Amino acid sequence: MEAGKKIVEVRNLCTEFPIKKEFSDILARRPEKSVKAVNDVSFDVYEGESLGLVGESGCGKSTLAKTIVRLCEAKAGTIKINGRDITNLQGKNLRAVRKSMQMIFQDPYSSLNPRMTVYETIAEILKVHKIVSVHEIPDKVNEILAMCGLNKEMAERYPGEFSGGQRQRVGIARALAAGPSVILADEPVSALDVSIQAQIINLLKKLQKELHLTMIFISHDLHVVRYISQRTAAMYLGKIVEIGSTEVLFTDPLHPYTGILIHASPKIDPTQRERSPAIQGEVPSPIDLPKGCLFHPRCPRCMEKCKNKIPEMKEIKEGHLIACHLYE
Amino acid sequence: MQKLLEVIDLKTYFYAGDKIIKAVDGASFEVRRGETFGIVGESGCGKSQTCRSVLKLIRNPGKITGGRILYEGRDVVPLSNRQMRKIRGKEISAIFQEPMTSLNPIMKIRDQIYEGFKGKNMTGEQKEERAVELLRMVGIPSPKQRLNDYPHQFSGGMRQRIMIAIALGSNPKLLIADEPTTALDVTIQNQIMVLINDLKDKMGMSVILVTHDLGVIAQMCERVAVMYAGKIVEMTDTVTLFAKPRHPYTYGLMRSLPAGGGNAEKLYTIEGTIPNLAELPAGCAFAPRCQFAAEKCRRQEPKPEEAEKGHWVSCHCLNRTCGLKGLIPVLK
Repeated sequence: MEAGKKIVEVRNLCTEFPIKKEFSDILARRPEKSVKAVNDVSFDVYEGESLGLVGESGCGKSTLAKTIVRLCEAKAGTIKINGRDITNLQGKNLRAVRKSMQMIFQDPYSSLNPRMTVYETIAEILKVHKIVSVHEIPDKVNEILAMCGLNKEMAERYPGEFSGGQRQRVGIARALAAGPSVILADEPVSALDVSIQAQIINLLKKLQKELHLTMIFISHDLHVVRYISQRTAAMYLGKIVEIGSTEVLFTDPLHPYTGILIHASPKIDPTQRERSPAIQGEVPSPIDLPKGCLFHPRCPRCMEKCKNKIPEMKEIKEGHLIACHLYE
Repeated sequence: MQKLLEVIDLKTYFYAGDKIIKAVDGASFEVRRGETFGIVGESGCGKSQTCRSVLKLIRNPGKITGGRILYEGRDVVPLSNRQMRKIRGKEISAIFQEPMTSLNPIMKIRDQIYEGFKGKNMTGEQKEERAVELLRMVGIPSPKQRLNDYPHQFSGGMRQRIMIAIALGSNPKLLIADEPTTALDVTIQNQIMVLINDLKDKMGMSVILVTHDLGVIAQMCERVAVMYAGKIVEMTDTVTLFAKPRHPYTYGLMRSLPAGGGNAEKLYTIEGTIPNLAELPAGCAFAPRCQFAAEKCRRQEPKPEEAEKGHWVSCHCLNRTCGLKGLIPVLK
């Protein structure tokens, strides 16, 4: 649907976390087990767009983001940023690429160094990445702060002196300091109160437009994702099950899981109350994954085929991909 | 409908050095039999302290300094701890946000449920039967086997179910649920909401539901109070609140939601931040952030007024807020 340039290209990406063997496992010669946090994920993000990533906790959204910025080791697959394969970059080359992709974290309380003033936090990034020369740093810091709605006087304060909303503004300023073209925002408004959340969402939208940022926006709040993202991907147990334009996904979801997720999100309308739960049961353990389609044990439309064969991602309509046997 | 609980002009203050933090400042509301009464507001607005006051769980340096809490017509404020224990956990039960911190990590679920049966003269068999019945009621599979498990062996959603089972063990008339679904995923939140709604109807109890999430309010409550800076600023039935909010703060909260059907370019925002409860401005606490604020608002504190029957609002600008549109017409 978008003719734009591909900025982020992820192909067959896998991230695994090994589980420590216990002594009894070694004696019994059991094979090493691992959690497949990201399991064969492929998608593209186009220039200037925001891709929403939704799913329940533990589905691998955050690990996926961290793998893309190379904070987690990828086990297999490739990551391309601006057409360049960065999957195996090391040292200096990696640092140079990191400049173009930055993360905004959920909890501005724990992601900022409490012993550094706002000025020091931002100046450090300018120094490390050599964005500007040393004597230009103070001006640049003020410019970045102003962009994020913070004033000069705040630069000399410590993170502890700010409210949650202001702290998240500092978190955003820190991410923007390196001049990135890709922003990965991991639940950036989840810890904030409703009235503050709206301010930060507006700020992110404004910055994305002004700086022409490409964004991957992770949230468990579907309303927020729907508001901010042009395209959305739904994840379940480490796999993307559906990806498409946000409006289509929210009004006419095709994968049973996407539908359930949207249905479960509380409607802000007291005249439309849910009488029965959208889905029974919980997400199974990611250690012993079910055979076939990962969603089949909970799927209301499970078929015989789903129990054995893993469905592949297929493009059903233009720009609308889904991994489900129902649509083959 | 009959009143089960009536709170009149409740004041819960915290004394920190020479500062007085007015966590709850003159809240009045009633909870009717068989209804779910919601209290909604942002962090620090006093919604949780209101609940803790009803349970009389306010600790030093906090104190209930004024007002009355009438439970079935009897004021519980002057009751001693010992007398209160006959009500708390028996007539009035509570569940909180973090099931892991409210459950004892080194006690089996069995023993934690049995605690509620103390002084009931039940045999071991009767206790087990009742515990299994409770776990089955809240939807825990193979309840008999799971009685011997510890809290860490359950998932977050299951732990919250266990909390609910423990709270319901004494057949309470009032359940206080303080952000019961906030720590849970949407699908689990949806299950727990349906479960509480269901159990409330089956057992005919009343629920006070505290949350910051207007979606949860819409799905669960019959009536709602909106709190801001320790005060109830608006109170009415849920449908009216969502269709015709009258307080500028309620309106702002609804409009700043991404689901509020607002402008695609920019969300409505309430400028500024929540005030410090120790240094509240004179007059209406919301005035510095309010688009309607007049000179009077900065001088004089508004008193709750009945704007329409059963619709209480504390605002000087009622004549200007009658045209405010809520979310329901927008969503439809």
